Amino acid sequence: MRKYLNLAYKSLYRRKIRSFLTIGGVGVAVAVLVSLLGFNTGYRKALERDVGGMGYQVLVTAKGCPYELATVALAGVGSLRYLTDDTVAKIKEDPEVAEITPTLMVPLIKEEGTGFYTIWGIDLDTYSRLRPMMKIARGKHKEKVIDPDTGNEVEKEVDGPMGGWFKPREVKPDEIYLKNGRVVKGLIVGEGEYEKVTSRELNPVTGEFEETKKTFKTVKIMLPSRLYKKSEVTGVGGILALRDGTQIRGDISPIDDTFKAVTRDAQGTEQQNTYSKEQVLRVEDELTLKDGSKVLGVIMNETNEYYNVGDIELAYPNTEEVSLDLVKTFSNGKPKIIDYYKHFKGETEIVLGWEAAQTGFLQVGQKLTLKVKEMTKQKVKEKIIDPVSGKEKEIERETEMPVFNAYKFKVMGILERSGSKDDGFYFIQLEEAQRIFRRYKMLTGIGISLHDLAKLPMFTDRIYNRKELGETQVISLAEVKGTILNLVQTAKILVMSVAFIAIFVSLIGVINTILMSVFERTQEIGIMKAIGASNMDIFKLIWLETIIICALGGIFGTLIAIFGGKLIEKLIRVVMSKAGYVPAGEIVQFTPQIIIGCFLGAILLGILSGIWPAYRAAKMRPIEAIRRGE
Amino acid sequence: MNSDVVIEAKDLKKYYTRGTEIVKALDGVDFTIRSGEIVSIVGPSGSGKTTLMNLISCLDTSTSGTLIIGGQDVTHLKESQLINIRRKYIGFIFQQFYLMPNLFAIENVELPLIFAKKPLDKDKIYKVIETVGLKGRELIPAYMLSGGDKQRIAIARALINDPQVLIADEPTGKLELKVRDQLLELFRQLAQKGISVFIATHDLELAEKTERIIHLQDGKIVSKEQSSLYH
Repeated sequence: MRKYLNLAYKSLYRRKIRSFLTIGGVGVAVAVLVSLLGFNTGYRKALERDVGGMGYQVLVTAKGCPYELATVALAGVGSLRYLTDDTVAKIKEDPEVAEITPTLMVPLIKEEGTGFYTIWGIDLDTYSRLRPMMKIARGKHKEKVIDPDTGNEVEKEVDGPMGGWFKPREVKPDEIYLKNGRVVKGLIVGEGEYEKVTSRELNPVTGEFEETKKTFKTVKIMLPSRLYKKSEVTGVGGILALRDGTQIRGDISPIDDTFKAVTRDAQGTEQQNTYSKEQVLRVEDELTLKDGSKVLGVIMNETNEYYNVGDIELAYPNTEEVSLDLVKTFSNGKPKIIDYYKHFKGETEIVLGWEAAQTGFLQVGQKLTLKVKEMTKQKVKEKIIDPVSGKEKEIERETEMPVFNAYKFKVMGILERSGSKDDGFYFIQLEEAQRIFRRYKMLTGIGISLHDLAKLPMFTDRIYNRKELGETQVISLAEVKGTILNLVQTAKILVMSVAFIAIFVSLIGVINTILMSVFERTQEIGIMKAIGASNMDIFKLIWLETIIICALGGIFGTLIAIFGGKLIEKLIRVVMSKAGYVPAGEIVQFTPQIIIGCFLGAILLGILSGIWPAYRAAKMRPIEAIRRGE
Repeated sequence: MNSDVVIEAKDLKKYYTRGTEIVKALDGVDFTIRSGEIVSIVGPSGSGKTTLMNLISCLDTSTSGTLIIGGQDVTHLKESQLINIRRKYIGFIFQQFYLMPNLFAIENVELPLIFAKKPLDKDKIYKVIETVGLKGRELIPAYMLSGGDKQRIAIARALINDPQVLIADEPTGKLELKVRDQLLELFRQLAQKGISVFIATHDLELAEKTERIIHLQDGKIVSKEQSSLYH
């Protein structure tokens, strides 16, 4: 056999370029196949690691496309939809919920526009119970500490835990005190003003209407709010909640530091009481709707048609403008607006995933500034020609403009490497995330572990039946995995078909090369027969040549795939990150089974493609073969 | 049959059809070749030399007649059986040498042994190479050898399986005169060892130097006088 191998090898060597090109063709096909199989294995493993590392089995998100939800769940990017904070307490009422944790994911576009910082606002207490695998890393590392003698920041080498979690602290909502005694709570996002036409009179000289406008200054606040059509509202009243737990319904109005409550009993008899500031817990408005349901909140303003009610349960947060005319003033005349964040002097504490710390060269104790590009809606003034009057007029248009922001943090700790996407994330306290990123009372997801996962369908039904929760979607992480795998599977089938076409083409290429070489060597084959070669000898020789080509192609292709694997991975990451979620870690993994399998596959390719040319060569009659060559 | 007859042909015919025409390449040929005999076969182009060579080297089968090689009637044997006859009795030398150019000289000589599934007896291989006078050039690739050396390697390749008949088709056609004489000398030495040498040639000078000449004309054996080669 060794002699036959030698003969076959020498014969291939004689046609070096052609043999090499054919080997290259087979190699490329094998490389594609190996890479695809490697991707399939690696991606599945990486996905399982990511999903397994989530810690919770069920995720509640705002309703959306399942793939986008899955993407958000595993935290790539995607257009985010939000749930409100209040949903957590509502879901927690369900008896099947064992543990629940609210999360807010904020993808921040890096200033340079290449990629994201993914910030997770988490409730440390519940989050760390659900995800105990997220631990602070340990080992030798450098920390930035304040030298007690000099007060300067110095670098110190430490062996032990790399910092710790951030310390949860109370984050109060901002407050606007209204003249009618109500307090609007939310997140103050700025100041504004609007023009209101106060009167409209006909000028007898010009014959035109003249408007008198007044500019109102406002304060912008983000809070859960909703408009209620006046036609839908059957009653509006005040509600005074006392510290002793009693609730008084009626007309509530403030007089100096006290509250006057005018109530009516069933007979319509009016009663008037006064309560001191100390007795009162809060004052709110109560709207009774046509269907009998009641809405508790603060009427911030009203038009002829609507009540704009803020600070209500389960409503989606909006930015509202409250006229300063309605706002109570301090004794110095300034409006009584308390912006806690403006006066907050501390730093937002942040904990970094392993990769995030490594790539940013960050140490515990260090200050971290994330420079980001944010899109904000801005009003721009534009001059246009009025099509009716033909005069130039100025209009205001809302447009999205990029704004460059810098967020400052203090690194409190670095997490252990998990091999999952967590490694690249930044974690801060939920309430702070909601504040600094202006996502007041907003969540992107609620992670839940159930007492019994088998009861998931019933749990899901119950959630969907609770209309007050609004547009929510319950997804199990098994489903998430399935959804992503299904998508990847579809793409894989397509790419596999391409790989099989490549293999088929290379099969034809191999047959062509060997057949050509057989025809070129017709005389040689005749001579070999004349000097004693049997049909089987010739068949074996030609067959071996094909198998050698394919085996070398197999080795070549596998090497390309292995050494080019990183490149392929990078490429897949770029392509897939545009589409959504890409798991962390190696997404192209070559197992011995894949490598051996593909190599054997290449040999099988050789065995199959060699049959026909070898048969043609073996069948040649020696005398004709010699004569044809002359 | 006489015990030292190696090849015996009786009324050997080979007809081809070319369209509707029947070409009588060999038309009833009778001859014998004894062991150790050097016989040349001459004739003009188209006289049937190559056809006869192909038949006696078992590369082709006859239309009718009998051909006995080494005492065995090969007339009706199948291709697989003919291979065994070729391996056992016949050594082949071609005008174009037909060596495998990418193989070393020695590897070319080894080929018949490989195909015959015989052990590669190095002593024997070197001895045969020595016989043809190419000792020391075993490891030169065939394409680098001179014409004469190529033919010597071709002869060594033909001899390696200990054939009883050496069939040479225009063996000196591509060689210089001096080399031709050396080759003839080699054939004589082989004949002395009992190997019959059967040479097809146009070269009358070479033919004159062999022990016996068979004249072929239009597929038939004729006398020297009847051969158109001399007119």
